[in-house]
Amino acid sequence: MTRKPHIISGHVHEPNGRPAVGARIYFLAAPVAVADMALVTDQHGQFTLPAPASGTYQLGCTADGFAPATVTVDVAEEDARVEIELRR
Amino acid sequence: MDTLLQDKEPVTIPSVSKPTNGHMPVSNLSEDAEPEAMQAQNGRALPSSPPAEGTNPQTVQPGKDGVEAVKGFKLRESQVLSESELGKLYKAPDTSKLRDIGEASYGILAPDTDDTLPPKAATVHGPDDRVQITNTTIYPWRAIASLLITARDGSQWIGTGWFIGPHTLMTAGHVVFIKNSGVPGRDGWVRSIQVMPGRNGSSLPFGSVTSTNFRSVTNWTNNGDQNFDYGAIIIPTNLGNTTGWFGFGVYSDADLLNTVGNISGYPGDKPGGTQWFDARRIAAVNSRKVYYDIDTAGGQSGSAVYRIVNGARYAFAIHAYGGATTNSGTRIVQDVYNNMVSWKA
Repeated sequence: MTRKPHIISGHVHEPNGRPAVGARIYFLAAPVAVADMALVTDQHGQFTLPAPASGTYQLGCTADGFAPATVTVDVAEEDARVEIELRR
Repeated sequence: MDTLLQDKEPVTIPSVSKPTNGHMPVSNLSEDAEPEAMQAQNGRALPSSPPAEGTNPQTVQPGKDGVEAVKGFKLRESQVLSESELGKLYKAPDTSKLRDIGEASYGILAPDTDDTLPPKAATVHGPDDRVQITNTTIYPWRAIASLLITARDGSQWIGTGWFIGPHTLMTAGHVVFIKNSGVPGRDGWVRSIQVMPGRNGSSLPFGSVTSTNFRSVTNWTNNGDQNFDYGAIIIPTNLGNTTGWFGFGVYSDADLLNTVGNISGYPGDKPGGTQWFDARRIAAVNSRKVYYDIDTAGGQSGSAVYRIVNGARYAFAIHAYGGATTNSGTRIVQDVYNNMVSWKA
């Protein structure tokens, strides 16, 4: 028996509300070992990551010109959505 | 040292053993379009393939104890442990108890298996020991490439690759083939990868080349088994002749447990497109994987985990996963080695 992964989707925006295009999203902590890839936000500042197991994930977000941001999200039975605001 | 191939020289097809146990090589190209080098050859594989330092290499001379001499980097004494001490600290998971599907990357969980992995995973353990490589135009740093990956669904990712020949870079399997993502339209061979050797921020000292020609093995592409998470990128130019490439080899457990692993790659948590290095003693090994506390971050998937032998760089694993107390890479065992030899062009 296998289980479809949950999805963490999100949006990254700059302090002025504009979408952060090309920001890098990666796992800082996860309930299980995770692939060491980083996702790049699209032209709308959106991203969609698989969460392989239920539990607490910490995401990092880095974009040049801004301070690194982190967000913690619990993934249980449903997919999760996060909003990240970058700060200079 | 390998003789460098010129632009129009024919690609040598090496002799390798027939792959077994899920290491059957696969390509994103159609069967008809597969190059001869993809086809298994009869013959005996050598235990190691030598590196080359490229054109005008200005090679960095490695430091002592198998560690690269990188300004600002110092191998922590506390990290150099005896084999018995390592055995107490790190118990290499029994392969039979490992979750044998790619849960770590893209999500299929094998139920009813022991939790061999700690509850919290993190890729930087304790203080971040990574040091930036500021001159990426010299060997070996220029033989390492920043990758911009475009998946089937158009999503973009960053990763790391490293040359093993004029046309071939090694990387993680999940860099070239996304498995079990749960996102509609994402799984499968990626659409393209932009390869940027020796990238240093916005500077591309060797330009970039885009590839749509990839390799991996069936136990990754069919089953998402993290023990088989490795792949290759074939580029249409012979840029590796300029950058040089890494050697690679098959080493015993005892040898690896007495080795310092070096990793340099392109993490996403640092300024965009910059290359970062760390090294530490190998913590544990099993029959398919190598475990270490070398600090990494998302974007370093696919990096070479390598050792220095008589001043030459030889990879023994392909970095792939971040874990709670150790990170891990796919070990270059004989079948992996054979495929690398057959993919090297």
